[in-house]
Amino acid sequence: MSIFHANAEQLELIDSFTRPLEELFPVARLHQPAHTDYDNWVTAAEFGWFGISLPEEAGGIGLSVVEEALLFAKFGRHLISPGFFGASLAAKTASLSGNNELAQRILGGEIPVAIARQAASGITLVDAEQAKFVLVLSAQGAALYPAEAITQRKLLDRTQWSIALESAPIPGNPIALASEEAIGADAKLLIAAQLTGIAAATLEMAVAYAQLRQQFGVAIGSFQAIKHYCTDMAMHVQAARDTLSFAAVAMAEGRSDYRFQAASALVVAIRAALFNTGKNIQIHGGMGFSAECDAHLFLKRAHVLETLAGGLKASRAALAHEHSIFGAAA
Amino acid sequence: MSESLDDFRARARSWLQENVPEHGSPLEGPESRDYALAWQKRQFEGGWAGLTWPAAYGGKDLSVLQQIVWFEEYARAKAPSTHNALFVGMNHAGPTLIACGSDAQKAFHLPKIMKGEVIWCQGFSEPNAGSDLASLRTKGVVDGDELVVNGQKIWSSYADIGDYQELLIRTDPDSSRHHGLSWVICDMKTPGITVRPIKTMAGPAKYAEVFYDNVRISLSNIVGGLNNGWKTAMATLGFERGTASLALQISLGLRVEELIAANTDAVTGETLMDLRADAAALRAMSYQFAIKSETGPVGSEGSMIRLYFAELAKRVASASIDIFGIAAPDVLAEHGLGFDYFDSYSETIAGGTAEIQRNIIAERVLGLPRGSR
Repeated sequence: MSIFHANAEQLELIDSFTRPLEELFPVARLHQPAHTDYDNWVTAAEFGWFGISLPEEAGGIGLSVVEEALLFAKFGRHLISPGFFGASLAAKTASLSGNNELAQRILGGEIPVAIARQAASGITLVDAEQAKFVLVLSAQGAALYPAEAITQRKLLDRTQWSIALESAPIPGNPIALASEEAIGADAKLLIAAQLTGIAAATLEMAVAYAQLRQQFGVAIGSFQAIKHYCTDMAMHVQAARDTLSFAAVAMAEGRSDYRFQAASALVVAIRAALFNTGKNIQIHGGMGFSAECDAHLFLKRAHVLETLAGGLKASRAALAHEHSIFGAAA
Repeated sequence: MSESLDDFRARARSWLQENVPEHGSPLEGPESRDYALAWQKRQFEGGWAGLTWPAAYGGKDLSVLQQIVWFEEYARAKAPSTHNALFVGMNHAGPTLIACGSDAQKAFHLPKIMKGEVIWCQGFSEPNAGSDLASLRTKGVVDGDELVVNGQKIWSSYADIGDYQELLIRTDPDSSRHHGLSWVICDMKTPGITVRPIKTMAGPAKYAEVFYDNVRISLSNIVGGLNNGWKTAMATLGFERGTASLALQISLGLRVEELIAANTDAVTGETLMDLRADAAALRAMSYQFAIKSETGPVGSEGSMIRLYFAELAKRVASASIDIFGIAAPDVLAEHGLGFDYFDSYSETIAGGTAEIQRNIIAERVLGLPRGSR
């Protein structure tokens, strides 16, 4: 039997993390200005979350990108710092550079890592204030820098986005490098996973509110206008989830179409997350526009993750470079 | 040892290469009937008919995954669209008989469908029962061992060229809504039936009105039990919403690639990448559906895939007009200028409008409360 989707054992395994994630990372924590997910950095490392798909001899857990994608979808639901994603990619980058010692130290939780995206004019750092290393994603791949190598840092915001955003000029001399060829699909897949988690969480939030909130004497979820938004959100979730799972399995199985699938999964997931987080605010009405509601947190994080992917436009362009499975050769 | 999926794919590809007809199907009338039956016969003789149907009735008992691979190769070989006169028999009536029919009904009808001997047509909607199907009024009165049917159906696909019809009627006169209905096999040659084809905005007469004037149908033609027709009809629509569009979904992905190959505009190029990604999503969803349906019934997810497909099909047809304009050669497909584009407007209407589908998904999948329509 050929394998195309995550199987029941894989889903069950990752579901075992549901409880600790709920305890350690309730979304409500983001309403506290002083919160930081780096307080739980070592705990996350002890769970093995930074090295799910790295082989055991490299210090990882020895599972596949399928389990990793499922886990990062959960991270998306909990709006966990993209630094965790930075750590996973940093360990892979170090490992690909042959620097196993560095990879092991990252996996062990010894070195807090943050993630950044490089554009033409500089880099945008996300939640990097406590990081010792920063993994910078670009169209060329990934480059790992010690935090002190990134100079002239400028704080853009720490409150509005519920996470610190900084800018800096493009640094030089990375300590480890991985080409787009080697790491691009991993990066796309894990960003898509987090966005898929966000899309799913906001669907559930919207549906729960539509069942609860009454106007004109009935639940607003009985109105077709609300139903149709919710259905569109549900279709976005199903599309994002199945494309993610399909892409992850293609990667894990080493199928030749895995880059196409990962690039597709990213485009689908960005649009799913932006659509769902926006509609979730709309369905929550005035409450959805308030700071105390969680709805805006999801929208903002979706934009941060989209930025880490290089943006929707660049993600579409990346898909344009891939050979389609619908082409004559597949 | 069963054949691997890759070997199965290779075998399908090679058969299709040698057997796909050079020309596509005529869109209406007796020519479309002859074409469809001849092509079905050829597939049957090649061993490619009824792939997922039970072996006991001449089917191949293959997995839905193999069915998908067949459709992928089918689309790639540019084989005749499955949206042809065989559609109702292959995708509605056949699967409904398999799920709800008696042994005698299955033994009589399934081989005829697979061998390309008969055309089936639909008979659900009425002038006053469209989205609100349960309000249908065409009645069947039990008279001895027969039903006497009077009333009118509309939007009956292929009724003008059909041999048998899946006919949903009210058989309990005191019933209302979804109670007291029966799903009946109606022989279209029975006296008292009048068929009036309806031309569509895309040109051909794909649908028809059907009038019943004291049409006598044997009680043995009821599928799934007298007055139990709603359940049978829901099974039919489940197939419509689940697997019926698989081949069309895959053709859609190929169409997107043709558009990408022809496009030179950056703005359209971005739209096309969304379509490419969404076609990949549709494929991933269909595979997931197929895998899940191997282990048990998959209900409402099929509705989501069907709706996703319908809207994507319209977007693709629309992109085609954006890229080529209305008078460009690529729009002048074999069926005439703009046919595919015009025809795409039926996607979000036929088989339940997109709006009704959204209500169903919201209520049955998401658990939102019923409300006024």
